[in-house]
Amino acid sequence: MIGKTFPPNIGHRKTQRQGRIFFGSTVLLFFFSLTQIDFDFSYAIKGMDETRKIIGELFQPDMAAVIPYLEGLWQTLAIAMLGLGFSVILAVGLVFFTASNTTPNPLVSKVIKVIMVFIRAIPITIWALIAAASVGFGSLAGLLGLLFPTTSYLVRILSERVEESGGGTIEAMNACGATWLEMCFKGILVELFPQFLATIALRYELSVSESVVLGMVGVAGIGYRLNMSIGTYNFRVASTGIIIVYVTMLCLEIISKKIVTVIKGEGK
Amino acid sequence: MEPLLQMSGIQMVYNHKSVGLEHIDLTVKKGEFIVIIGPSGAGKSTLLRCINLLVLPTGGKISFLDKRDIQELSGNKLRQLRGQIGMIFQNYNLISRASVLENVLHGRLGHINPIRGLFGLYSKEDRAYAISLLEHIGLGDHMYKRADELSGGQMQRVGICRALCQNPQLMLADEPIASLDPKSASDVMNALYDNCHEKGITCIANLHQVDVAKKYATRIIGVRKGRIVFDGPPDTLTPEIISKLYKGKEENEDDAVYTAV
Repeated sequence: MIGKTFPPNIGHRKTQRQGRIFFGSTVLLFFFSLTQIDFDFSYAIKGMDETRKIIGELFQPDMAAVIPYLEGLWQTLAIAMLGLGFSVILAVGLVFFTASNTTPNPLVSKVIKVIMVFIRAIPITIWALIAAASVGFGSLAGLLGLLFPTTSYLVRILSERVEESGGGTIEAMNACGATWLEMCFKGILVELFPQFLATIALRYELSVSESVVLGMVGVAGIGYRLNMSIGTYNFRVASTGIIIVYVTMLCLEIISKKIVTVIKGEGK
Repeated sequence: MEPLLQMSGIQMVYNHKSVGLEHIDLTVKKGEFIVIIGPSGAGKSTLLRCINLLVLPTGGKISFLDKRDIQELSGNKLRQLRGQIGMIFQNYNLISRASVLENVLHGRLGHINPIRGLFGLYSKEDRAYAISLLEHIGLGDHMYKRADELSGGQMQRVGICRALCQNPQLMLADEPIASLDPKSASDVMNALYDNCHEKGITCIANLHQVDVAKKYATRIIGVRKGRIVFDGPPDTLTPEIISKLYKGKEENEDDAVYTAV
């Protein structure tokens, strides 16, 4: 027979109370935020019709637009490749000064790390706009815009790899009496080559997507054309572009994963 | 006879707090095969690394051959010093993607021109020497294999060849057989002992295995909590001394120098 009173509370009191306070405050904040913003839901309802039309158009890609888009894609891929290439050269030049176990001067290492944090804090679109302001819109601006954040990312990841896995190699090369350059390039670079290559291969994928975004900002490539089509409400054409970008990114992801597997699969 | 290596008052303090080495006085004569034993964390590895300055001691002096105060050395002079001291490591520390021969030739880097070293332009004599070392140790057939294709014992012997390629006066071995099975361990210790003996190279090795130490050493040094507590020939190392040396950390007895009864 079920008793009149509920069974005593079986939970942990303090945790339950914390949960209730957290949830309650979040709900309050949510409704408070709603009152602060000027949402006019009537617009959303009026826009339903338009939205349906746009979605309809998005499902009917315009095949005539394929060729110009492919040209744009080609440009985007090239910018990403060049941007990555230059970034790799710069990053390899910097990484041995950045990693705390290879740097000739600990202060240099800290300074570089701080500068890299600043660079990464600035969104890539801003970098691209700065570049465009200096050299005009176009592929060169795209390249320069990619250079700073990509280099900074590579320096961070690669220097972390060196700090984690480089210890034994550093000791051995130093014990042989190798020079600093020999230790870095014949020792660590050779030993960590698979990890470096994997990082770079994965990064190419990201560079392409960033390159597309840069295009949206007006710099060059497929993103530029995509932005134009959307801006002129030509959604059938835009749809073609979107599909091309999607297929490209999918292929790149598959290829990078394959490259990483092959590289890691060698040796033990 | 002038000692090969002299360490006086060597001290290693980390971050002004924890003491790795308290006070080490050690004199090594040419031709000795010294084995350092002691519990983990006693400071054996630190002690070894102070000799070729992979670790910079916070106090004390070291002299090696005719050079005084080597702890002050830096740059090219440090490289030259290290060129005369070969080292092998518990984890072998080979360049896995490079060939066995390339790895051995790294031993010449302390002796050749930096530009040539950077581009791997070793002389014919250097190459011939490296090959002869590998053949002598029984790895002649594996010369062009990638280092990571070899077994642990083989890799350690490549490490020995790399150190020998330096034509060193002193060989340091940091737990060379810790990661090896008994057969490989025996191959490695024999290779180390025989090569050092043949070439007149003095050797200082850290070992966990006291029985192995007794088998090869001309002199055994016991280190505990950063101090040398035993120093003598293997036959004076009694089981009582060994158990005192490896005593648990809970017991905090006064660690005077242990002498044979």
